[in-house]
Amino acid sequence: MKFGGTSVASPDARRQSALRVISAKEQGFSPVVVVSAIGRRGAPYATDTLIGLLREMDDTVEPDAREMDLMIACGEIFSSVIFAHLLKTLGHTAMAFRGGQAGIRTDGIYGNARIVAINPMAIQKSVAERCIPVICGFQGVFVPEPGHPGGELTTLGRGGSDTTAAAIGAALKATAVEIFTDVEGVKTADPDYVNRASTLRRISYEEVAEIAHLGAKVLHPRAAEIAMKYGMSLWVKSTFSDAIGTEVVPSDQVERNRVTGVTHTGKLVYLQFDLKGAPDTHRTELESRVYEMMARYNLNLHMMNLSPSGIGFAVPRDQYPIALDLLDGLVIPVQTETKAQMYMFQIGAHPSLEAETQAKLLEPLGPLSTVPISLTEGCTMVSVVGQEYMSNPGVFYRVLAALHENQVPVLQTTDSNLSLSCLIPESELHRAVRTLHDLFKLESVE
Amino acid sequence: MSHNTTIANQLETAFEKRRGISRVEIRDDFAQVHISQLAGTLAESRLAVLKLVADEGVSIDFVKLTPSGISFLVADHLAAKIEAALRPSGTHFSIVARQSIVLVTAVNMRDEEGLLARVVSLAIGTGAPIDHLADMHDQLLVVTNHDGARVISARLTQLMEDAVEN
Repeated sequence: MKFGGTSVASPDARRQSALRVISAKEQGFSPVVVVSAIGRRGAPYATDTLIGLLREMDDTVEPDAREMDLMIACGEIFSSVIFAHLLKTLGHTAMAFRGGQAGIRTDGIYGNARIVAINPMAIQKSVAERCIPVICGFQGVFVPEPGHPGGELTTLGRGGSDTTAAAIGAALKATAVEIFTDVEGVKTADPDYVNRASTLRRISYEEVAEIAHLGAKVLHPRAAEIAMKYGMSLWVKSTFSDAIGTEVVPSDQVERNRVTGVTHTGKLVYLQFDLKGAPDTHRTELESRVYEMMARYNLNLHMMNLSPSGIGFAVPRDQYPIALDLLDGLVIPVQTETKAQMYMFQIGAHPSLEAETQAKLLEPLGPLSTVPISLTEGCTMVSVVGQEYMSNPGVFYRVLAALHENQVPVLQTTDSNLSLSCLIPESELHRAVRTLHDLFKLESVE
Repeated sequence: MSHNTTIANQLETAFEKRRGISRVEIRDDFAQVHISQLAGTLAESRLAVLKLVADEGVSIDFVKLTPSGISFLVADHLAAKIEAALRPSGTHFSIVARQSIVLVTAVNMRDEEGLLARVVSLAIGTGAPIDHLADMHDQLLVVTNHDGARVISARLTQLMEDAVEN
């Protein structure tokens, strides 16, 4: 049973969560609890608050990733100790465990570690003694070499507590893993965008992982992937209501050929490179150089495309200044048999001062071709997700036609077996989500 | 996409998929359709083309909007239906048959710093003629010819194995 930040945020919320644990025990189960840090942004022991304690000292000095992990892991440690003590005050034996004490071993990537193994011996012993283990979510331990004393504390990155719960559940061969949160289950859309969004009764592992990857925050995809791998029963429920919640099940147990939800994510800037002016032999070289540079500076690309007239991709808005620095005024020489041909990249319709100066300076060296890059700022991605639906003839037509009829411009698309995503202006996001929710009549999906 | 999987390499840790490239796979027998020089309002012209294809009952994958049209993939055996649907409308199009897809799987690859760009750069660097690209949260798709797919797959598999050794 995993309780998220809002489920342990206040004495009353913690009590409701604890009573659910006790109820499970009284029904004959052996509950194992995983907790997140107490509260969300602004709360005194929330992860963001703890990060702030380091960052606010001097924002020009980046905290060391190892120390940052030690700091933010404190939130879950507080939470587990408080929750275990609460259970004791309610008459039940309980014991708090750090991730490492619970046997969670990770790789050595601070801030975004992945679980490599779990030795659940301490948890099994605790359960055997009828004690309720309360495990810190979001953390594990990396042992660099055998015999290293204690190992290094690591955190699992976003959604880490869900991942902890699924992994512990798998290691213990649990009857089920229940993720308790402040919504009644997995919704067909963000209720802030569609107030008629319904709660799904069942969803497949693949669908919930896809929905989560594409923006839904109710369950982390890593948790769904672990549950799928181990064939484990997984539930998303509300701490604060008796609604049955959403059961995550194998794909053969859900209705096929349906759309399950509409999600949205990302703050992106879209760049489209016009390479029509370059002959094929030069074009390959130019493309290769552009991608090489994006890789060298660790830029994350989305919505990539390549066509006879050019290439395109979107970058996260916070990385756009780096892309702008790299690309605007960039000169790439391409060697031909007799001489070098130079290409200068230009973002936007008019050259920047830097690009203009570059062009003037390079004039004596020979011809300079311009590669125009069109720029669309303020983009985001809206997606429809569904099991075996995307291969239906006409899906693209229906989605793009509905968005067009509702004046939502689509800049680019991408798709997989489970989803179809459209890059759109962020200003049209509400309309786009509602349009697609209505198109697939998701208010009546179960 | 239910076509032949001819090569697949996969590596996982005990609990979670490993970081970086975990699988490289080739799927054969696709046709790449490029539609260009669409007249009138671009968005409406694209919709008209998609409707022609939808009315023909053909399932299309990996649709990309291009500056003057649209491109997508279909199973090779459906290329003739696409041609039959588009030809009477006077649409300017080209179909490249017998294309292969290299599917590269890496957990959360859009958020792994520079990973997608690195893979694409390596793929282009092999010299294989790349006709189409698409990305999902955990997969990159590279469309090229039969031989190019083998070259790209071998290069990326090598990269994956080197990463494991290190």
